[in-house]
Amino acid sequence: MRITTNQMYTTANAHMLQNQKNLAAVQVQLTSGKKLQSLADDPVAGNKIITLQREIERYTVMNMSIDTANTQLNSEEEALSSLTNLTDRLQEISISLGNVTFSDSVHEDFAIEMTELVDMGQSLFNYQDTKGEYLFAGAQGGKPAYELEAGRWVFKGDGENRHVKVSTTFNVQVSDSGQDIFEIESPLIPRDNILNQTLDMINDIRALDMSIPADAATFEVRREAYMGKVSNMQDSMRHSISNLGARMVNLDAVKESNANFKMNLSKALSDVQDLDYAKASSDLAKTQTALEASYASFAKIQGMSLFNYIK
Amino acid sequence: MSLLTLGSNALNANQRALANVGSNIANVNSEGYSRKVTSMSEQGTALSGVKVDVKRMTSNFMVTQLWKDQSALSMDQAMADKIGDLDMIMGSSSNNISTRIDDFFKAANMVSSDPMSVSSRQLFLSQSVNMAEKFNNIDDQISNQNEVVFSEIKNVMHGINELANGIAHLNAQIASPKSEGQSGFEALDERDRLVQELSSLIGINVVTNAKGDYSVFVGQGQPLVIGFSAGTMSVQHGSEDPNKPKILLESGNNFRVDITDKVNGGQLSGILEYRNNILAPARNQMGRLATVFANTMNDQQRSGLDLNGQMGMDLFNKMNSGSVKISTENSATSSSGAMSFYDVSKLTASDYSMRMGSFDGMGNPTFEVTRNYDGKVFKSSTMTSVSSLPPGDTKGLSQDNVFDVTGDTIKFSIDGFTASVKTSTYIKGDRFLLQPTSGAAGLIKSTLSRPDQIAAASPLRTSEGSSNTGSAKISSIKVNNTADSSPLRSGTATLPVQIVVHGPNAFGDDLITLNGPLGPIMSNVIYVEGDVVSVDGYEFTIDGDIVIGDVYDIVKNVDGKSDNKNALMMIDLQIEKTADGKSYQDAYTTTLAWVGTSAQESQLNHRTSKATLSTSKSSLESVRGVNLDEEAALLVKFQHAYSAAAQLISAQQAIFNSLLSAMR
Repeated sequence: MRITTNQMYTTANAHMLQNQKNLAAVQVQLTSGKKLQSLADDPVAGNKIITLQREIERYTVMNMSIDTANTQLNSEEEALSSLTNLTDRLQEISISLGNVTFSDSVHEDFAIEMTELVDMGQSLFNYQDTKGEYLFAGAQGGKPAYELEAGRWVFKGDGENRHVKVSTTFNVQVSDSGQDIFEIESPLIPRDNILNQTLDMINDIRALDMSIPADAATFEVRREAYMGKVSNMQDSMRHSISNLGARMVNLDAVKESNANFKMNLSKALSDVQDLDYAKASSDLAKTQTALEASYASFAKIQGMSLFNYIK
Repeated sequence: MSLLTLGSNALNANQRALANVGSNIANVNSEGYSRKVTSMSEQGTALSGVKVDVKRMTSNFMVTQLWKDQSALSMDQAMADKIGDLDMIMGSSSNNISTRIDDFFKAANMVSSDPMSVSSRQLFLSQSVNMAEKFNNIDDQISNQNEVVFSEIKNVMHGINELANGIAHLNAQIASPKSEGQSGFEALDERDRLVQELSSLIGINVVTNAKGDYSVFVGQGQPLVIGFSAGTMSVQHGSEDPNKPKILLESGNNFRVDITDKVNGGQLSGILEYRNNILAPARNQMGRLATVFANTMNDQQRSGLDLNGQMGMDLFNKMNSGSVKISTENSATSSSGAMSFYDVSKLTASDYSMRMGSFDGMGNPTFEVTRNYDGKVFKSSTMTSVSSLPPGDTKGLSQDNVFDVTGDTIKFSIDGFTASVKTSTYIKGDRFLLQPTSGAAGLIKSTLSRPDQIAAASPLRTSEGSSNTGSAKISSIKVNNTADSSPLRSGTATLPVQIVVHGPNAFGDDLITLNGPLGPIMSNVIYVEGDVVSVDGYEFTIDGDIVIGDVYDIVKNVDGKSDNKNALMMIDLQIEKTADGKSYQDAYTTTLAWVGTSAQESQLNHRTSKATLSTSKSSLESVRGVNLDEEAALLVKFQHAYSAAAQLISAQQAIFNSLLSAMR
């Protein structure tokens, strides 16, 4: 084929431009640290990146929910362990009340302490977290779980318990309604709570005259029944606290498995999107050499002309 | 023939040859220059001297190939450039809708795990605003591309018209007697150059007639240049879709032809293909996603109860209508159209073309609708008329393939939307363009203003009778009617409801009766564990062991501020397949993948056609281009011949002088 002067320049030019373009592409990869600069570079990988980022984000969100759930469970645990201490004290008192040598004035001291404990107990039944939500009111956390009606503490919430989504497949329960854990019933005892039961006991302490044998006998029967109620409450608290513990252990396990998933996904993401610097560096050297070669050959070609020889 | 004559003849000949060498050297860098080759031969009779012929080196075959390849390259290049722009818009991380959706659901998660927290609710509101704005933003950028397309096409049209005029003018110049021979070479080169430039703008077919005129045809044989006269091309807004450019050609007969669908090559074709096959569908797909997102979120928000105990209000504006565009070429004097959706999950990202047909045997108008992206045709003759739906049908027009003609209005339902077209007269051939989703991404707005309006709670709560002996519980209570007229929203739902298990009936089935405050609202329903019971716009299931005598209560969720059941259902929407069988984010990544693949494909095509053009360019160049070394050799050759011819004259002079001195 006949080669024209123009073709020699055009070819040299085209090669230089192409090599420059290749060099620029490697340079962008190196400065951004990313393999792909646009979807067109590799649509499949581009899609994978977005999907992986989304999956990773979901685990981040799950972990946030786990943290919130933990905070809520911790608040509840705090309230329940205070209630356990309170109930333990009620048990001590109920045992002490069985001591026949105690005078009415000693009994009155107990009555006063029990009144205090009821007051403390209602504040725990109406426990609020930092933003004012009543923890034990079921779905109705905007208002107190318990209200005093005709001298008795009445549950005003409902039996709803809140669940929070903490993994793609697992919802954890983060609240316990007072209806489930405070309103206790057993085959012999009608459904009621320890506050009212204690109030009844206080009434008995004050109303019954221990010097009258019949009253003393009634008192003993009621005291024993009350001890049973206190022990039921203790059982319920222990049971609820161990439930809370189990949920927190579960949360830790979910968090750990989420972290594992997230780590695997992050690694997969890095494999798809992050630049292989060793390869990019050698690409850089290669394209640089190619560009230099096209410069050198251009310099040679442009110096060649018959006109130089026919002076 | 004397030496003198021979000498001067040879001098002239070599001078011309030298002039051609000079011209070749001078034009070594001229685009489209065809080198001139001087050939010499003996004059007819003996000793009559030399005859000079100048040839313009070119190849008609190669030139035609070059034009064709140039059209292909310019088309692929325009396409690759344009899709590259869209790739940049859609692929940029700041425009990533997927991350916005993540942020949105992150906030929804926060609301669900702490429904009374005002800050979580506030964040959820801001994220819904951000989400809507991101959709608006992308739609804005995509629709700006429409304007760019128009202005680029106008530029292309301007170029085509100038070049067509130039070619017609050169046709005239070349045909004139003055241009015969070598003096016409320049005009021929110039005309080829103009044609090549034209071929980069639009695909052409060039026919050379006996006189040497070029006739240039575009599209499928529409004449742009015939002889000495050139046509004019122009662009207009489409008669149905104003965003779709309409390409017109006006030839000598003053008749304008629509050649939009016939253009096949060059920059124009690349731009048109990009606008119609990439840009418009991409915009529709984003619109569909925004529509589905807004509708499904609104439905869920309307299924819940807000912090004030009110049923939830729409989170986004109602995205419940596409648009119906009436062709400006219709014969009917006045028409109007409207659209609504009955099932957004069925919406496609396509536009639809509706065409009126003739009247059927019963005197009713017929029509057909084409789904543009795959060409599927829906004919009125294969749809069911509302009047012939089976008795007891409650859906009416809110189902696929149903139509209704009442007076001057046609309504029909396909793919999740119902279109309604009202026209003064039914005239065969009249057209309407139905766009369910185009531009919808630009319309989505977040409409809630206060954090307490987020409906995180379920409107109902349930409990089991305290003396139940069975272990069953009411599960999955769900609102299934979110219309304003629904019993729950309008306040006509009977509540509280107590469900009593009784029976068994004669067949041993358990029965349930739903009692309201004023008596039963549903009686003696045979119940098997897991059955879904639907009442007053909500539904529920009793799961577990049911025992005769057990009761279950459903009450209004008054003060249910800590409840998050509706928020949990909102979260689940992130992975639900709501958009034509895909989740929101999967639908989005599918769009991205499609844009990316189209961009990649167009780049590949561009690379191929570039290589093809460069091959045909170098083949032609090898025939017509100048090689300076070759010219240097010719220069020396003709210089020597010129000197020799001069010697002839000088010899003649010497002879003559000798003769004179001999006579002296």
